[in-house]
Amino acid sequence: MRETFRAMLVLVAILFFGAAEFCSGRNTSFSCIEREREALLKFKLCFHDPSHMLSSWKGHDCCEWRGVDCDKNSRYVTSLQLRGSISYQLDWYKQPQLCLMDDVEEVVSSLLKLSYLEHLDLSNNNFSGNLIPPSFGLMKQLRYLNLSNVQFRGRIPNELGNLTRLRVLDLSQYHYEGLKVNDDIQWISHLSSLQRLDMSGVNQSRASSNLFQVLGMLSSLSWLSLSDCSLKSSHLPSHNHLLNFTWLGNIQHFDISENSFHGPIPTFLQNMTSLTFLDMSGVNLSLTSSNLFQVLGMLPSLSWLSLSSCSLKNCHLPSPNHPFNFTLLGNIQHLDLSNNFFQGPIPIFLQNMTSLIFLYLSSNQLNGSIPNSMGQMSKLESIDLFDNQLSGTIPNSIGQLSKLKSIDLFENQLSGSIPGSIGQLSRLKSIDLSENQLSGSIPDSIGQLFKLESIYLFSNQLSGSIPDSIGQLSKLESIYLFSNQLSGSIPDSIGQLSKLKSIYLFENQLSGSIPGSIGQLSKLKNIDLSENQLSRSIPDSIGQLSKLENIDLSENQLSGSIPDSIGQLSKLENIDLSENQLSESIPDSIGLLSKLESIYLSSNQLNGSILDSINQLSKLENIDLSSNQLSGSIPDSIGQFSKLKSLYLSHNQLSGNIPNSIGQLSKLKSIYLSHNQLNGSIPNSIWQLSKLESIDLSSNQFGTRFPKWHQLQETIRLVDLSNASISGPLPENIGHMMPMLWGLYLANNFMNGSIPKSLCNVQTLTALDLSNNMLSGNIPKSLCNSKDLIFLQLSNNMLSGNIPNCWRNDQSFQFIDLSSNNLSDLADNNLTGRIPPCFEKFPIMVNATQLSHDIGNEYWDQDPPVDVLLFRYIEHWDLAPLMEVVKGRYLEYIRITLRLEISIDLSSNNLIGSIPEELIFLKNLHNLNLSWNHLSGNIPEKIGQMENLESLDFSKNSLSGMIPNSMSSLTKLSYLNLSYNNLSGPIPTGYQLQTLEDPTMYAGNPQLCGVPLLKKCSNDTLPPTIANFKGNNEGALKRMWFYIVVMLGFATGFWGVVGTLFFVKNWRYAYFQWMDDVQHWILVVITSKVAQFKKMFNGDQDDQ
Amino acid sequence: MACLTPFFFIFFLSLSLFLSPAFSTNSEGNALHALRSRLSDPTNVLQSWDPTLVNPCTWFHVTCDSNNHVIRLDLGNSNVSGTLGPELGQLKYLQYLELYRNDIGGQIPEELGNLENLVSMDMYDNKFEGRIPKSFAKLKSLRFLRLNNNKLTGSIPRELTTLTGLKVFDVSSNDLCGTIPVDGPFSSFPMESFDNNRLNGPELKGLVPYDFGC
Repeated sequence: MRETFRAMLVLVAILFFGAAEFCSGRNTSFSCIEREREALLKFKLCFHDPSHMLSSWKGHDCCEWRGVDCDKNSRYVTSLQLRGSISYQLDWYKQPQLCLMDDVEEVVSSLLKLSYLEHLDLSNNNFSGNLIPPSFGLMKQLRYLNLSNVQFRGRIPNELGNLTRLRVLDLSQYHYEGLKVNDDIQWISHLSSLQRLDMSGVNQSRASSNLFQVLGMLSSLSWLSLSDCSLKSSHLPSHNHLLNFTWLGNIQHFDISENSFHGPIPTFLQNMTSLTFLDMSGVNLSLTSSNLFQVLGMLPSLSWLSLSSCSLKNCHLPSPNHPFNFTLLGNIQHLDLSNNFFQGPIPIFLQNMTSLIFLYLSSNQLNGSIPNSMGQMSKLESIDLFDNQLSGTIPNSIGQLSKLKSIDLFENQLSGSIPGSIGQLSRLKSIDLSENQLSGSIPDSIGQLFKLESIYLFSNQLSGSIPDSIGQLSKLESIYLFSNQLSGSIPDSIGQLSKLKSIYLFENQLSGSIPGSIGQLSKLKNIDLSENQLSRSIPDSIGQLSKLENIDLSENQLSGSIPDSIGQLSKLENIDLSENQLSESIPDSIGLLSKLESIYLSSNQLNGSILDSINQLSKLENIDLSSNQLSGSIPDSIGQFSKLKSLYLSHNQLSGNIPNSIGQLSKLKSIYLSHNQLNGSIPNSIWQLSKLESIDLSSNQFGTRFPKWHQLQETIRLVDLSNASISGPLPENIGHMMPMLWGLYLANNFMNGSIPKSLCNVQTLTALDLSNNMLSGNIPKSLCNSKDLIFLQLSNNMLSGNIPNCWRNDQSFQFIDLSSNNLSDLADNNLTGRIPPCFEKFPIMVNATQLSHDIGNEYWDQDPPVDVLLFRYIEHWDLAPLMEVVKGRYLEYIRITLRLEISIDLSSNNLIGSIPEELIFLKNLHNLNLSWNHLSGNIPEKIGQMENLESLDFSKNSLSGMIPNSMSSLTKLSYLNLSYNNLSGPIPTGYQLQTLEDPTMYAGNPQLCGVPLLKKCSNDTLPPTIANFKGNNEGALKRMWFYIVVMLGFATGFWGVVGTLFFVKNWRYAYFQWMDDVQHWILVVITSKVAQFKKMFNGDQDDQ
Repeated sequence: MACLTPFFFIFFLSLSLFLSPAFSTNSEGNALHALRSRLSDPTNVLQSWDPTLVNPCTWFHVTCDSNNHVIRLDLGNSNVSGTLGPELGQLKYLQYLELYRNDIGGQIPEELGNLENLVSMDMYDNKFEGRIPKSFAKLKSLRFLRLNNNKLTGSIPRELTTLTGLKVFDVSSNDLCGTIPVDGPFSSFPMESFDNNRLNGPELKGLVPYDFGC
């Protein structure tokens, strides 16, 4: 008994202490296997962990660490879930993920110490292009292994085949190429427990053709993804193979999308009777016969089907004529047929697919209208029909799709108005109807879409005002209503949209003021209200938009000052308030916008000076304050903008020097300081700007000599120093220092000396304007070496000598003005041999208003922007009130429009000799002016071949001889001046010349005669007109025949009567007898009638 | 508000007066663009006719005066075909309408009679059909009218005898009928101007109707 008691006591004690020890062990020393804890810490050390994923990995109990799971009893680590997260954004390096720092073998060796690890998920981390270590194969206990998107590269080691307990293996690589299998893939067949295999993105092009045979040995497999594996048709199993297909019957999820199969639909699909998910997108199925849907219809459980980008055509769709049981498709919930070649109306069979929840038909060529019956597809949650050619109106029945969350109909040709029934779609989160031709107003009912997060209606013809009810959409994050015709004011209610991040209303006709309530949009990042008619001042409340990054209010009629509160927008990166009527000075607070990159305030009425406070904005890249009334000098501190790329301060009233510090702006590409009152010298430091592309200092009062070059300026394209009181000669080396120059403008200065020969080396030169200077000497012979030279303006100088050979016929237009110089010889030009090619180019029409916007921006990267160069050229004409003689009148080049054409003006020189015959080869010439020279000899005989000539001026020369007849065939000529020469003979007539009948164009040629002059030509000088030629000959012949016939007729008629009477005596007597009788009868009748009349007349008088 | 109403009225009135020249040049551009759309232009003679520009004065073959009104249209020998439309009548300032030696057919629009500044109308060597519009009698400035070598039918409208400034009138080689007017400027036109028609010689007033034989 005692024995037993003792034994019991011991037992109880053992139990008690045991339990106590067990409990205490659980709480303290038993918490986590120390060996494993150390292994995990070693694992942690292998990685750089910028997002602090492993920050909880400290302390004793490793089972409590984030991502670590232990067995409840043994406390061994069984599961590691270390999934990084990836959202595919630009700033990849900011992604929360682990980056391998150490040797990958270290990682595996520490993992191998976790001998009970069954579940390992390292997906979405960065193993930076390492090979998968074969030692992974030693973790035999693993049931789950996920290495997807870990950026492994190279061959998958065969040792993975040792992981025989694996149920799930995920090696998928999206957006990262580099992992591949080699031709021996037998190892896969050892994974006999595998249920789920994902090898998407793994290059299997080298896998042997028995891939499916190998996979067939995985008897438990039900989930298989081989998307984007570079598989070819030869990898697919065919019935000729001795293959066991029964395993396919177990597969539920099958993804073979994005592989380069081609040919008909694989027949083995028929065996996959358990299939619920099938993705074949990106597989070329164009060779499939029309039984595609018949095959798919045999898969009774199929609910998810994607055939996007399969090159399918209408013939692949089931037609109602086919004996096809549509109910088979009745289970499909997700159908993606986007990006195929389907044409015609939306297929009818879709209406039978009553289970559809997601329908994607985008990027096809569907036309016709959206059927009204669409409203019956009551389960639809998402519908994509964008990028088709659908027309007609959006059916009202769309309001019946009560479960709809997303509707995308953009890029179609839908017209009519947005149905008001759309307000019934109470679950709608996103609506995109942009880029259609929708008109009418936005329905008020849109305010009932309480779940709406984004609304895209841009690029339509919507009119009316933005409904006030929009303020009720409390979840709205994005509003895109730009490029419509919306009018009225922006509703005040917009301030209630507390989640709004972006609002784009530009290119509408919105008016009124910007509502002050806009300040309540505390999440707003982007606002663009440009190109409207908004007026009054910018609300003060705008300073409350603490998250704002971009604001564009340009091209409105906003007035008042820029609110001081703008300085509170601490996240602001870009601000554009240009083309408004903003006045007063730029607020000082703008210096607080420390993140600002671009500031555009051009074309306003801002005054005051450029503030020093702006200097704090160290991130500024673009400054545009042009076309304001800013005064004072450019602050010296401007050199601190180390990132500045463009500086536009032109059209202001800035004075003083250009600060020397400008040379510190090492990133500067464009500097525009034109139209100010800057004076003093141009700092030489400006040529230190090694990235400079365009410099415009024109229209200032520098009063200095042309700045000296010290440095090769390889990037420079445009130099404009016109109208800037610059004197002295051009530097001799200018062409060597600026070898890539496109345009050089130095008009209206006081430059002397000769044109430097080095300019001939600038092969890219397109525009050269040195007009209105005091340049002398010859024009360098090879000046026109540049094949692109289109504008050469050297007029009003003192240049002498020969005219270089500058005109060319391979240009669609060209403008050469050498007028008002002392040039003497035209004959030296080698015009011969320039047989013109066919002209396919036609004059470029330039919309200058648009151009002024583009000038000096990113234009300078490609070919010479001829239009910009020309606009600049014309602009100078505009400000120096010089005009171009076109069509005989001073056509002022205003900024609205301008025409470019080939024009040669050599007027007002001392040209001698005759007009070269070869001139006529310039068939594309539109204007030719050789007036006010000393040219002699004849006008070229074949001048009529210059068939595009519109304006021709040879006046004030000493030309002699006749005016060539061919001139009348210049059928486009609308201005001609040949006055004051020694021309003689008749003026040609016919065609165009008969429409130019102002006699003054021939004045001062005393020996000319004929129309339109009053002086008649004597007969021997009568010009043979075209009309006279055939008319005269034909007429004469006709007239001769006419007279012959008349004579013959007369002879026959006369002698037929008179001759008979003359020769036959009886007839003669009878004839005269009859004549006497008739005479008597007439006499009697007349007498009696007269008597009768008299009686009647008298009777009438009696009555009265 | 009431006192503002007349102000607005005057404002809009002055605005509309100010803008009217702009509108008119625009309408001339529209008229020319309408012409372009009616014509087929295989040699791209009309390529520069860009309707988005403010006025047509920069287009080739179009000449404007200093107020940006179209005064010349030079499309002679331009290889264009098609028809003319009523919109040409909107070119109120046009002085020279040069469409000769082309392949233009159809009727000559009645509305050309509205071109009251027209000095010269050259439409010879085309394929015009139908009658010579009576409305041409409104072209009081007209001095040159050449319609020869077309397929015009009907008689020469007697109303044209009121065009006292007419110096050249050529309708030869058409299919006109009736007699030739003798009044006004017609007394001095040479007979060649009427050749190759079905015309029945000079008019004998009172004896024969002018459309005799039509």
